[in-house]
Amino acid sequence: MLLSLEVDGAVPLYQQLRDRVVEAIASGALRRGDSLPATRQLAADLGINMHTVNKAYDLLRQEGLIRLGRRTGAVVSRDPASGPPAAGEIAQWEQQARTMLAEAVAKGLSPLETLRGCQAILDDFTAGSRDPALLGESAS
Amino acid sequence: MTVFPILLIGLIAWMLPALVPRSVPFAVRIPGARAKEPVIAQQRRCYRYGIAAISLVVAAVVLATGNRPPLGGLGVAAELAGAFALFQVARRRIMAAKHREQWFAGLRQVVVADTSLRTDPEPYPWRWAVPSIALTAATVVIAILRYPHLPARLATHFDAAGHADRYASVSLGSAFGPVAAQVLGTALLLGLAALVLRSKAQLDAEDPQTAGARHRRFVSSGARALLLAAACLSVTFLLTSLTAWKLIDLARPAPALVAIMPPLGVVVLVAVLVRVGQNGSRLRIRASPGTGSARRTTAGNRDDDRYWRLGLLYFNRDDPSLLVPHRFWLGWTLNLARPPRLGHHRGHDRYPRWRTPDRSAHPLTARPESGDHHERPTAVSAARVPLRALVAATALLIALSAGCSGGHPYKAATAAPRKASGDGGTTRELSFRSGPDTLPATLLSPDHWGREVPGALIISGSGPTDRDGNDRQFPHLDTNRNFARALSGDGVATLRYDKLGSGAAGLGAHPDPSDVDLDLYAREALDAYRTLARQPGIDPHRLIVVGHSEGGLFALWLADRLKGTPEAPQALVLAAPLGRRYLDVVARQLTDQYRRAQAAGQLSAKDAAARIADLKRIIATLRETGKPPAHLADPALAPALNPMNVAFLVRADRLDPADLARRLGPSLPVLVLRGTKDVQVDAGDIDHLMHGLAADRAAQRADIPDADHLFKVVTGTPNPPVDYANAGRPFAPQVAPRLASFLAPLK
Repeated sequence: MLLSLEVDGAVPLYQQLRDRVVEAIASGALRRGDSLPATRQLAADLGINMHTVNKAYDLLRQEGLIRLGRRTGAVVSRDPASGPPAAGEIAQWEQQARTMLAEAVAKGLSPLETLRGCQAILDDFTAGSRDPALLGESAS
Repeated sequence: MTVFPILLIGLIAWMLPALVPRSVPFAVRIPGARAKEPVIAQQRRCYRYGIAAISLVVAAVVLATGNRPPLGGLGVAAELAGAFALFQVARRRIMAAKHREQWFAGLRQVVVADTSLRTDPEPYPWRWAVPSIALTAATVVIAILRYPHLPARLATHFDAAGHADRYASVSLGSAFGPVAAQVLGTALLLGLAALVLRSKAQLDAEDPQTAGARHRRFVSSGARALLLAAACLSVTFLLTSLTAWKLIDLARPAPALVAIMPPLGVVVLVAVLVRVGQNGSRLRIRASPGTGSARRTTAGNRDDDRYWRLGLLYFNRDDPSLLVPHRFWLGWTLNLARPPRLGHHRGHDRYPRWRTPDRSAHPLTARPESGDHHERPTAVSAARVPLRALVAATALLIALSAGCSGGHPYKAATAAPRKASGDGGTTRELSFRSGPDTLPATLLSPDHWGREVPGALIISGSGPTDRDGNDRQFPHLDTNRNFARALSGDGVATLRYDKLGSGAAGLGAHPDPSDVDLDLYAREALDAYRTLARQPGIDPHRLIVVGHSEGGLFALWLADRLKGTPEAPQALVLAAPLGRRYLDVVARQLTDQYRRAQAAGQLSAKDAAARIADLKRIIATLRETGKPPAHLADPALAPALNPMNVAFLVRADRLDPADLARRLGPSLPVLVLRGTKDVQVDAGDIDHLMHGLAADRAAQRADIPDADHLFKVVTGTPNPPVDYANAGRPFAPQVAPRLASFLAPLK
């Protein structure tokens, strides 16, 4: 899986890293049980601070998407096949979706167009073939 | 023979522009679209003409002057210097064009990693390691079998024709020295091959798919070439040892073999690296099905020239890589900003602590710690670089044996949902581990969308004071919370926590209260500090510690403990801190109390004098024996001198805040706050502390008018028991602006 981060972007690096992993899980590029690189190694390949990777992994762990073990490293612990989320798990997502949709409405996108856009993105994920790195780019 | 290296170096230097990736011609990072700029082709021509001229002239001069040894070395040096100068000229001209024409303007710069390179890494080519291991093992076995039968005199050096020309009398050293060197050399090369396999994968963001495949071939070829070189080295060692032990006569069967092997190893290495090119740039990678030009991305590489000094030395503090591919040479170089540290996940601190004070002298720090470590690359002075490189080289072996796998130094830090609060920001409840305990904490973050903010750890005052600065008796003091609000208003996030025995923390894993001592609280502060450092949105490079009252002592301790490490706090705020040794402060407080009681007529002059005199005895006994005396003139003191308090007091009393302050160094910003109506910490205490800070140019003191120990406003004469029960008193308005101006440089 390719991870691509925009170094001078407005979004903090750890947030981008977290977003790319979430997208990879959604698109099927990462599945439950897949390993992520060790913090140090990933930081080295990206040429960024280890803390940044730590933070992203910690965030993903808090969101229940990965497991961190001393031995096993970071392992994806949930994917679309793991079943529907618990009630509390998507509260934060709903909050964010609200803001995202508000943005579309505020910018004059019609509800139908908005829905169509959402559907197209969802189709990308379910098609399961797209490269998450490219997806990240087209979304930004 | 001396012409051979001159010509080889010349040839490599001449080829180099074609061996490095097109995205870094002459070590200048360019966007792919600019690869055909005329300036690049022109500089390449100039450089090549120059190299050809220098190499041929140097070789001719060396040959003409009879090919004498010192001249050959000088010739190589002159050639390298010339090549370096030509390279710098080309690099500067291309860089000038790049800046003048702003080649990177408007380009989206990204860094790309291919996670499969790590989750499914290239396997270590053990089969290629077999020859060198077998040859080395054979040498060792023969050495052991042959040792009892060795002649009295051993050959230690051979001339070019294979005749021994130096001898040593037989001993363990002279017999096994070369064997040990062979074992070490082989192990070093084997370890280096492992590091090469794990070396940084700097992928071309414009075509990351292909770049990933190139990287695989590049590192696996490099590792194999190193293993072949190791085999060549082993052959030389084995043959010389056999000759020395009179098992073969080197002069007869294979005089050339020994002489040829080491250069052969170098040639193999160079040939392989030339074949694949730097980063595998010369390999043809077949596009996998379904890929191709459509997969090329629209983003460009990050302009990372700033990390390459002179285009040759890599210096990036943020990058944890040890080995990175050269930009304008073959193979790999070291990240010189990176101290060689190994086993970082094992809870040991192994990086050099050249500025850390002697710990054995420090009762608090002598303990081993189990807290997780977050280490960041440290600044390294240029003078240390050669030492560093040496350490790195020798450390390769240890790296290998330590298994050097990237671990995850995590501890549970559970988080509850965020919620807005009346404190000017977002609060988040979390908890962190400290030793066997889990402690609850509150993170208050200012609203700063998407930007990292500085973080402050707030350490409570004495007694069962919770994260907000309250206890059961006085639940509305809110000292810590007030500081958190003030800092949040200033754009600084804060973490405050319930120390053991306060608030929601309880005494959980400590049935024996006397083991709750100063060290434990110090550890809590350290663990809380590290928890703060890894919270999302917090800049781990801009951390400060705020200590209130007794917390000031821990703030000083923490700063001293982390001094010279990358984790060190950037500033300290000491709010009404403990200014003297603990028992001295307690004695002064009690003396004041007795005098007030006497003035109020609650205590006779004789009793007051007796109690004040008794204090001296109690303190002397505590300092001497660690226990209070059996008889106390003031029976009311007995409950305060319970074993838990005594254990803590006696330990804390060994620390003089002024001494800790003296060790902070000349430039750590420290703000000492004191309320003018504070009766718990008086002006004399603060004066004593300020003496300790006299050498710190960045230390400042601020007296807050009419504020008490909690920095709340007191009207009239302070009377703590009554004042503290009054929940309506405001937080002194001068505190926030004082903090803001002190912390302005952190913004």
